[in-house]
Amino acid sequence: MDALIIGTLQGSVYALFALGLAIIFSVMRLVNFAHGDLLTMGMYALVVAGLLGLTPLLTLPVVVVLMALFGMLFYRLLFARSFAAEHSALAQIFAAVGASIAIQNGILQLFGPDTRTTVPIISGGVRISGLGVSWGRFMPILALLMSAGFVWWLFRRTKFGTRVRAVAEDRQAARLVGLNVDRLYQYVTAISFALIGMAAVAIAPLFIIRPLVGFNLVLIAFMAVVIGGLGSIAGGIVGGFVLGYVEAFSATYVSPLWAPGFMYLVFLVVLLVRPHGLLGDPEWNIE
Amino acid sequence: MSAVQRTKTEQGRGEASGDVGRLTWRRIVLVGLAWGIGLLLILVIAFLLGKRSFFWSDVLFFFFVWGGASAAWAIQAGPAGRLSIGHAAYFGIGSYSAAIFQSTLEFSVWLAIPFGMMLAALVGAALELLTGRLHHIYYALATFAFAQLLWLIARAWRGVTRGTAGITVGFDATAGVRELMFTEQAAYVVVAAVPALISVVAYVMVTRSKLGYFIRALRDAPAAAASIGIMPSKWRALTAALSAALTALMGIAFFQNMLFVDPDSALSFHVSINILLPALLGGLNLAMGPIVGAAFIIPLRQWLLAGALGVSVAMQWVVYGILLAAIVLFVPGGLAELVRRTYLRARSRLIARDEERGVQA
Repeated sequence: MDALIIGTLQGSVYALFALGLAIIFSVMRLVNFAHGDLLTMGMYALVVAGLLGLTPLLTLPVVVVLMALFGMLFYRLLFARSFAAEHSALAQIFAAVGASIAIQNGILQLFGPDTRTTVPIISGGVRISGLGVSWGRFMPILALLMSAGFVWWLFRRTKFGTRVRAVAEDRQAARLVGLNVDRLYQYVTAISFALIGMAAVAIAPLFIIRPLVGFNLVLIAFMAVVIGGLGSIAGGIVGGFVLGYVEAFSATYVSPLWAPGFMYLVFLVVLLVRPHGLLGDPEWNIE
Repeated sequence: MSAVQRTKTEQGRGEASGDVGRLTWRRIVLVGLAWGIGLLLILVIAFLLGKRSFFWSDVLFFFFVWGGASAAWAIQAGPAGRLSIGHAAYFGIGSYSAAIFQSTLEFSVWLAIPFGMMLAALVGAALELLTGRLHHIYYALATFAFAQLLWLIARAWRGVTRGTAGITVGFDATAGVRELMFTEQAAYVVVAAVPALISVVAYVMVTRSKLGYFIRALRDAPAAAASIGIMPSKWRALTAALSAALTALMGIAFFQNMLFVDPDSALSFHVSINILLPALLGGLNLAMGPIVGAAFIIPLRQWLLAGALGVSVAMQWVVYGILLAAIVLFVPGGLAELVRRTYLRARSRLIARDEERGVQA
């Protein structure tokens, strides 16, 4: 029972973190290796806000807007160019890896190697069948509901969403009917980054914040997206919860030390047995 | 088989090998001699430069380690088109074999070399057989996750790997070639140069062999290649095994200089980046690509990390990260390709000029 509760809470953290990656992945077919370091940036923004005496709730819109703007810039400087490179998949990975190294060390330069913490949005907690859970642990679930609802509305109920789905399905055809693919990609990157900002604010109080905090989580987001299914945004969320449960159950019944091992194992098994993931489209072509 | 058919097959073979230059004994001896003298010169210069300062022996050592590992990686990534981003796995298998053989088992490092290479080859072939269905980004992520899995095992399996504390092997000043331990730092340049050269030669031999034709056919037209009877799994697994074994050899050479290994120094994603960066910068589909890339990035990195800019360590890495992104984005196809294109352009211009003169005369 404890494992179930912890798995749900942990799964919501992973799902929230994977959501931004799933969007870029599904629409642009691009692996953003700097994804984790963007989360770190968001968390440090919260640290700065704490030093300035701002409450986390006030910080949220600021972080989200700043991250979205940074996303526009990031796309222009890195991703837009990487599509032209010869081995574009490798160029995308390593352009982002370069950015990741620069961000990690930039943060190290500014804030030093010391660990930091932020104050939770609300204090106190609740008891669920004997397990004490602080209210802060529920923040990722709330943020996930809001983010997922926003993404669903944006992609399924607006004209912008229809265009983005058209581009995701067939870039060439979308260009032929007159869609500005480049511009749409830029907006999608901005949305992805804004969602990372949202995730950072919601989960920052749960982590000990170090310059490498996001990078150590990034593989979990990759795994969540692949398990859930490439090309499916809902898949990223499902994948996040699957990993949360695998971690909680293996930590409870085997050993916390080996819990990440079980997560990799589930990932590799899904990849080998069902490469398109649980919710992914088998026809979906990465090229 | 009838006589007519036999002639046709032989003709077919002659044509296939014709475009890379026929291998006659004279040619082999001449080319071998030229390369041998060239390599000997490089080694002597490397050794002398390395003797002069620690900076240069470091630059040369890392140049050979990452350039050689990159050439080994490129055997799989270039002709076979299998872009692994988890080659740290094999590098780590090599380093850990050397470490465990010399510490816990108290064997010679010379025994660790065949063991580490064989283990890496088996693991590489097995992973390739398992992931045969995966392509592009799926394959890259699978190799990434596999390397991370080994990193995790190295951290958790304390009985064998001593976890995050790592394994240290005591230095024996009298050992010399018997244990591959030298008081002279420049000697390690040679220790790294030999496997690096083996990797480059292996790359050239693979691209000119039957294996090279098969894996390139499988890369460029998988269905057509399979339809004429080229088994994708068999040849790709063979390539992966070769690439993995040579990477492990490089890991052993690296360990002999450090005499210390822990999960982060041998199995982290950072190691995978170091391995594939030279080939990525230099070009995957040219034998000289990894070497050209390493000749560019390793001195630059060592120079930056030696404090060339007068900024803090963190800022050095910021500069390195930005440079990395810029190079990857602005030099498509790698530096070697850039050099080749410039050369071809210059040559065609010369030919055009000569022809013009010919017309005038």
